[in-house]
Order: sequence, then C-alpha cells, then structure tokens
Amino acid sequence: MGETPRGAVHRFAIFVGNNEGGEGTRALLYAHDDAERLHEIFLRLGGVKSEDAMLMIDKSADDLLTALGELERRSRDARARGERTALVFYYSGHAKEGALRLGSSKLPMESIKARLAQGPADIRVAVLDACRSGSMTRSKGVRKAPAFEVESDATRAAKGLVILTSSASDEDSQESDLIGASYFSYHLATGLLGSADQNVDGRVSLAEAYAYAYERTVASTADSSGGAQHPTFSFDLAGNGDLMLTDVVERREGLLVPVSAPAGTYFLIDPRGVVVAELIKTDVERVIALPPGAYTVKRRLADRLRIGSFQVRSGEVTTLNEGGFRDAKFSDDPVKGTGITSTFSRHWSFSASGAYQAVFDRPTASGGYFPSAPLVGGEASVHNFFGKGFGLNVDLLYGWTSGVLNTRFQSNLAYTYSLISFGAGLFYEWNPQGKWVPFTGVHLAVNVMSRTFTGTTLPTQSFTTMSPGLSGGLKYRLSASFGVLARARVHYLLYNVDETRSLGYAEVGLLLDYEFRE
Amino acid sequence: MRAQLWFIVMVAAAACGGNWSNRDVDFANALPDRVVLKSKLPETATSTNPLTGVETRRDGLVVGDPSSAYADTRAAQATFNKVIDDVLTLVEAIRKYPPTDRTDDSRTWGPFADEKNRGAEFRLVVTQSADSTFHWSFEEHPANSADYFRIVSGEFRPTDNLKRGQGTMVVHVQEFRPHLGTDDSMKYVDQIDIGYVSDSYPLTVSMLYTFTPGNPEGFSTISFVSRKAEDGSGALQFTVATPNNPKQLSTAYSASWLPSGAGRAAGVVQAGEYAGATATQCWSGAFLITYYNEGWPAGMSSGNPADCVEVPGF
Repeated sequence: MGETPRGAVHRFAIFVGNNEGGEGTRALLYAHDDAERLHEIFLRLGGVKSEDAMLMIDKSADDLLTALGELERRSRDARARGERTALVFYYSGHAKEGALRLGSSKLPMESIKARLAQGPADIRVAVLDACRSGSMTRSKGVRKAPAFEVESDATRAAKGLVILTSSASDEDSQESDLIGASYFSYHLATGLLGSADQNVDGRVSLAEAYAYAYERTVASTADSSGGAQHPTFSFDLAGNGDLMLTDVVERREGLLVPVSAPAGTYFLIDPRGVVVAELIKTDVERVIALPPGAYTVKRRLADRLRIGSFQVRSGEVTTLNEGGFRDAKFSDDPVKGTGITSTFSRHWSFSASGAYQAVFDRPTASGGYFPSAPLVGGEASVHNFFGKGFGLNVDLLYGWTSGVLNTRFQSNLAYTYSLISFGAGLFYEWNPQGKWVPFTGVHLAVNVMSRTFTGTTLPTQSFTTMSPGLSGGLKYRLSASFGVLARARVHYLLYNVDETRSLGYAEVGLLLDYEFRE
Repeated sequence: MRAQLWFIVMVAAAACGGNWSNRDVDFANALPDRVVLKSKLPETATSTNPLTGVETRRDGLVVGDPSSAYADTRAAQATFNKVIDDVLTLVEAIRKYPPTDRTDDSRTWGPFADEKNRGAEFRLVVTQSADSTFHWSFEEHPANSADYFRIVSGEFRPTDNLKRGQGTMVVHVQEFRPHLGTDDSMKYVDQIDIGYVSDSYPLTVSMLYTFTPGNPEGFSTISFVSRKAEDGSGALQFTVATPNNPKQLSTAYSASWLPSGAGRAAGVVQAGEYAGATATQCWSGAFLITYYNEGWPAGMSSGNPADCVEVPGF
C-alpha cells in the first residue's frame, strides 16, 4: 500500500465547533466537545503543531474564512519551501439548505468545497459532521467512493481533496446523549486513538479511520430514533496513496491490550465517567493512545460486567491486566444510568427572579392571615442531575409588603410584612437542548414570614412552615447561556396557630437564567 | 447525601410554627394602653420649674406671675400618671412577647420567674367571656405556694373595636402588700380602682384611692378624673391635701386646658380655716397668671376675668 509518510508532511488543521445554527435550528449539545476532542487528538497524535492548528468555537463564517485564509497562506509558504503539506478541515455544527450554519451566519457548502478544492495544500481533508453533509460529497467535482474501497495500491503520493461526511445527503447527523458527542465524531475520534488500526501497524490511516467510523456509526445509529446514519467518503485525488492521520505508538503512551486479553468490546472511561474510547478486541494486540491519567475499563458480558482500572503515566504504555478485573452487576456500571449523558450534560445554572406570591386566603383587611406580596431572589439549578432532563434546584426569595389587619375586635392595624423563602425542587425539562424548554417539577419551600405592627407595642409575629408544591413553566433560550423563564408554582400552606387551616399560595415569576456549560 | 437531606427536612419540620395570630392581637390589645389612659397637660421647658403654689399665693399673686394652679395641676397629673405607669409598665412589657399558652378563649403569658423574689413566679392571663368582655389578671405566686395573688386585674368591653370601649382595673395593694411590699406612697393604700371610657371623646379615666381604715394620715379616699378631648384639650379633677396649712388643709381642684397649654383652674377649700372659700386662677400658654381671684371677703384679685380662657366641653 502506498502511503504518505506522516513525518514528511507539514500539517495544518482547523477545527470548527458551533452548537448554534441560527433560526430554524435547535441548539446542539456537543459540537464544541467534538471539535475540542478532535483538536486534542490531532495535536497529540496527528503530527499537527499547536501553532499550525486553529480551534474555532462559536465563530462566524467570516471568522472561519479568515482563519482558513491564514492557514492557506502558511501552507503556500511551506510549499514554496519545498515542503509537502496537508490541511485538515473539521467542522461540527449545523448545516441546512446547502450551507454550514455558524450561529446566525451561513457558509455555502459549495463555496467551502471550492475553496478547499483550490487550496494550496497538497492534500486537503475535510471532515464535516453536520446534517445532510453528504450533499457535499454528491456534488460536482468530487467522486463518491464506496465505503470500503478507499485504500489503494498506488505508490504515488496523493494530491487533492478528500471529504468525509457524517451522514448522507438525506440524513440527519445525530448526537447521542449516551456518548456525549455526535456518533460520527465520537467514533472517528476513538478510531484515531487506535481502535481503527486495522492492520495493527501502530498508525491510523485516513482509510482506516473512515472505515472504522463508518462501521461504528452505522451500527450505533441503526436502532436510534433518527434511523441509521451513513457517513460518506469521497476524494478527488491526483495520484493515489493514503494519508496517515495518527500515530498511536510514536509517543509510547497509552494502553496496550495484549493478545491474551479476552476478545470483546472494551470501554475506556475517564474519571468523570465519560467513555473516552472503545475498542473491539479481536485476536491481535492493540494500543490505544490515551493521555496520562486514571481510567476505568469496562467489558460487557452477557450476564455481567468486568470492570478494572489502570493508570497511564506520561511516556509509558500500560498493559491491561485482565487479572485485576472484577465482576460487577449491570447496576454497578461505572458509566451510570445514561452514562456519558449525565456527566457530560450535567451543568449548573443561576437565575435572578422576580415573582408575585398570591395567598389563597382572605385579605388581611378582612381577617385573613397572610398577605400577598412581591418577591425577589435567586436560585441555582443543576440540570440532568438524575439523568437527562431531571434536575435539582435551590432557591432563596425575599418578599415584602405592608397592609392593615382587621380582626373581630381590631380595625386598621397597620403592619409591615416580610417573607424569606428557602426552597428546593426537583424538575424535569423536556427538550432541554431546545430553544423552548418546558419544565415541570415539585418544590418544597421553607417559608419564614414576619409582620411588625406599626404604632403599637404588640410583638412582631412570625410563622415558619414547610410548604410543598408543584411548579411548571417555560424557558426561552436567548443564547447558548442566557435564557428567560416564566414559571408558576402552586403551594400548600398549613396554618395552625389560631386554628388549623389549609391555605395555599400561587407564585408567578420571571427568571433571567445563565447556564454554565462545560 | 441521603442522611443530609433527612437532616435538613427534620430541622425544617421542627422549625414549623410561630406566633402568627390574629386572635393574639385581640387579646393583647384588650389590655389597657398607658398612652390612652395617661393625662397629658401641655408643657414647655419653662413649665418644668416647680412653682411654689400656696406659699406664693399667700404673698399675693398678680397677673404675670408663674401660675401656681398650673403647677398644682401638673403635680397631681404626675401622681395620676405614676400610678398608670406603675400598674401598666410591666403589663405592657409582657405584652411585647408572644403568649406562652393559647386556648380558644384565653391567652397566658408566663409564668415567668420573679427575679426579685426567688422562687416566685408571675403571669398575665387574659380571658374572653361569652359576652365578648375581656378579663385580665396580672398575678404572682410566692415561692412557698402555688396559689396566685392578684397584683392588678381588670376587664374591658369593646364597643366598637379594641381602641374603643369601657374598662376597669383594680390595683390590689392590700392583696399583694404582704408578698411584695410597697413604698411609702402606698403605705396606707388598700386598693386603687381605675375606670376608663375610650369609646367616645372626651376619653375619661377615673382613679379612686381607698385607704386603710384608721390610717394615721386620716385619709379615706382620694379621687382623680382625667378627661382628654380629641384636639388635645383636657381636664383633671383632683384633690390636693396640704396638712401643714391650717387655713387650707384640703382643696378640690377642677382644671382644664386648651391644646396651647393655656388653662384655668377653680379650687374649693374643703377643709381648714377657709373651708368653703373658692379661688379661680387662669394661665396663659406661657403658664403665667392671666387672672386670679380669691372669692372670700378681703380676698385678693388680679387681672380681668375676660382674660380667662374658655375650654369648651370641660
């Protein structure tokens, strides 16, 4: 097989991730993570120097073209020095109606393809992880290749354009909450770590990476609600050859799965509980190039899990020792519940709120006990705490008002009222990644109420009660981080001093919310 | 985590409750209010100097002199208000706290330890009867007995609301003296009865001292009647005893004043050499005599009766 020696190629790379696709699209969850993951792998294993790589998160189309132009200039300069060059263009984000959607800006696929086709680098590799990105490989000027006919016996170094897309021209590219990434990028990344090294030469070629990503993406999405997703590969090469994308043995750092290790699928999990790689072990030795750190490894059997742990130290290859594994029940899966989802998408948000609390009671001027009052406060929420959509929140509200009290024997007794409410709630969000996010939940508040009578020597009165309730509302995302919530709560309130009465209150509020996403 | 959540829930549950009570307001407000009951005579910085009263008059009073009648009125008012203060200060202090015990028709504050009498405890009990009359009793039990003796008790019947009504209270001096003792001013007092009417102006408070029969001072009763109009004018009827003045051993005064402080007082000598004699003194807002007249033969007179203020309603 002809190949381009990796070390002889000056590599440039640009990684673009954008969760937002503007009007008519739903915010993605993992486009940022996809771009960051591929960026890290290419720097560590792909022979791309950090100064020759650009990571562009949430940048516009103009920003992208400017960055691309810079890398083209450098590539042109390198070629002028007689170097052989390669440019890797990776995009994870929205695509719609023939254009990449970067936030509110658009970049027609035809124009980016033409730009890459005419680029100065000897080999240009475009990887597009976006819905209907297969339309790019269907276009004029690029020949679509069958999935497994990439490798060539040709000996001449290839020059030209190779395009990998995550899905066919009529398919959506799917993200998975289970793996916390898009299916395609996740499998491409884990393949580049060594899982795709089909010929066990310690290096992952473009063809191997694609073949692995194709197979695993189709397999992973076959049963998904969106249907099977078929990556595409096309090329327009003058000459033949294969491009080595990563070298998994050069750094001699990672995990060696020896021949003696039982066959099967191994999931390698980092301390956060995120699956960082998976490996289908056959009868050959495998190396997975992991960065230094502590890992958990899981192998799934028909009736149980086999779980072990290992440490990767800098500059060392750790050999997996099956003897150190233990049996575990499926309920003890180190990837808890929905696995990567809960870890990856669990995040905090903080809100400032203003509300009005209306008590289900007579007005105090008519002998009622508690007045209605405006409230201000704030709350903190952790989303996806118990799995997708399920979260917890704690809140603190302060309310105040003034009024008059009339009792059987007392009239027009003026008072000032204050309320401090500590609350905690469990909520569920539908469509948590969407623009509009309906939610509902249960809430338990501890209300500390106080009233001070003015112009008298009567003591300040207070009442503390736990108040359970229900809540519901709708969130509108103004941006990736900011949102506005309209929320209503209905609470039960037990009064038991003068008499035992079941009261209650409704609380209607607006919240300005800021989400902290990893 | 689960244990922490349970801890928080249990603490929150234990914290439930409070003193949020509309009925407490009724019971607490049924107790008399010093501000309502106390007599209020206008004063200025210059009026705080004691005036010499009888002795000055004996030397001959003339228009422009400091008013001795005003001084006597203020002295009587101070005595009157002191009783109100003594009786109600502690009651009001207790009322600032939530009741200790509640029933449908009663509230009890205490018992609290009496720091001046080891082992003794006091309490304030307010009950409401079926006819909506509130009865209250401030009482104490000694260290060696669980039986309470009364210090002050009273009742109040609201006619419109708790700011308006009619009430009485009794200072049970004879009952508490063996346990608590008294100062010299109460040495021969057995009981003080106070009545008040606050459901219409003028607000009226009467106070009657009942003395121990056969006491060496020779007193049987002393009475005050205080009235306050809505505009700040008022009146105080009182008796001044001057045992060292054989000509004027006792004089009954009826004083009234305008919101400005200007007022008038008429006195009748009830005992002494001048028994039956009357005197009239009027004063200005600066508490200086504007008219003075002694209504007995060869009595002195100064000023014009037209310079006397009229206090409507009193």
